[in-house]
Amino acid sequence: MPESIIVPVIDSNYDLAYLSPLQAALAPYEVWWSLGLWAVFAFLLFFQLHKYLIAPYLHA
Amino acid sequence: MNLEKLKHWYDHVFSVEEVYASKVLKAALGALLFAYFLTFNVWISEYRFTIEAVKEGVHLCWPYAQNCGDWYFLSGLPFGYTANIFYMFLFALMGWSAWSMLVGKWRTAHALMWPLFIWKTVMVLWLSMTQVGNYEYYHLVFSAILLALPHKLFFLKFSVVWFYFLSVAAKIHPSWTLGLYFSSLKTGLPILPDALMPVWTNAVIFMEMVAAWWLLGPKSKWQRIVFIFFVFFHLYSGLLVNYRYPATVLPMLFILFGPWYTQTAIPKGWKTAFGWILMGLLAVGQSISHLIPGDEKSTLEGNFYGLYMFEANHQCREEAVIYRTDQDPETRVKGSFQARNRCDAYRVWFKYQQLCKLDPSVERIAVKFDHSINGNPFYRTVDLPNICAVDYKPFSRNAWIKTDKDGAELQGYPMRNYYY
Repeated sequence: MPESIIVPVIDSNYDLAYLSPLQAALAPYEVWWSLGLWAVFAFLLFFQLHKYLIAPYLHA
Repeated sequence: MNLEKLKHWYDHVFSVEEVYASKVLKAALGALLFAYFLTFNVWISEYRFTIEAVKEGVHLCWPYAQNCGDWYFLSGLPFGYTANIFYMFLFALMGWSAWSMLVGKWRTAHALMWPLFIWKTVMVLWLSMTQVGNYEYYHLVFSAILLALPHKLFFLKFSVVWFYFLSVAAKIHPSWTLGLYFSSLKTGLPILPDALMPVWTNAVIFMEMVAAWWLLGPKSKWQRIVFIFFVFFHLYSGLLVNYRYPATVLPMLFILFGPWYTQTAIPKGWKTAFGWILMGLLAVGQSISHLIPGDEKSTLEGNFYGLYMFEANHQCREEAVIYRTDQDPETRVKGSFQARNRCDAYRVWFKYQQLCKLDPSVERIAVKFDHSINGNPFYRTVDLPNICAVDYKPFSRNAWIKTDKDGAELQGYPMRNYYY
């Protein structure tokens, strides 16, 4: 296997990890997308905690 | 206490009656045992668990138990037989447990798995950091539930969904939100086209964060669809991670959510506390890396206390200059082109700390460490004149590990790399 190669400058002669057109289009919004995902994650966390830990006792 | 009373006490304390009454739990116990065979098949020849490894300084301790090597007692081939004797003893226990399952002696099968569970827990969580595969975390949690906890069926099912859900906390990062992990690979994702990479990776995030909960619902069309998705997901992931991960998770997924599935009512009462505490501990472990300032994908601080599958594509280059008394400096250079080699600064630190301790002629070791994640530039994250002189804090920020945000210098750009 080849060793890790550090290319000093961005050079198209090397197989660098360029973004695909879709990734390049989405990249500016990535921070907002991540924040949205965290919001959904937090909502689901509290929703499921309520469903499994709190609701069974409220409706007992 | 006579034998009958002891059996009754055992059944009661570890809720083994639940196993007697459920073909699902019996099958789950079999799946659990299968994963112990897989584990110890590797460990019997794991050099890094031996006292020889400690003498050589090639073992690896957790950051919260940095002197774990003091407790090693097994000697492996070609230096001794104790490791092989020990693991063949465990093999005998596993064989006995498997036979007990076959003849329907479920208490015996259950009891024989305790030594396996205790040894694996001690090794994975205390004596070695080399076995931090996420499948080991799954296996230990399944084991704890099946061996010790009440409401086994509910918590087994819940833990599978909880693992999927928590794993998303490691995926909300450009590695997955943009799919940079896989687009940085020369080979991309297996089968799926690279042009739509963010579509595939965000679909996984959606399924693990949202749809996984439908696994616990009534046996409906949606429950079936999500079950089938995760079966194919694990088979697909095996294209990258090989057999070990799917062999631990897929049998349990199939047993708990497959053809035998029926919805399990949410349990109530004080006995549920043990299961919820275990689920809470998993959440705490998952949150540690997020509570430590800095990009944990780059610093890797706290990264291994929770699930971290495919958290970032790593490349690194390490240069150490070892200064010894009355000798010319020795330079060691090492690079990694392997996406899943985590390039953890802690591992570099631990390795050279052992050298500092074992070799009295070492005066100091200067280390430079360049790290790239997800095809982003290499940054000099570690640049120390003497790595022997710094400590590593297990639960907080280590200022000597830099990121681009706190002044790490850009060294250059990485080529696309490989996963193997």
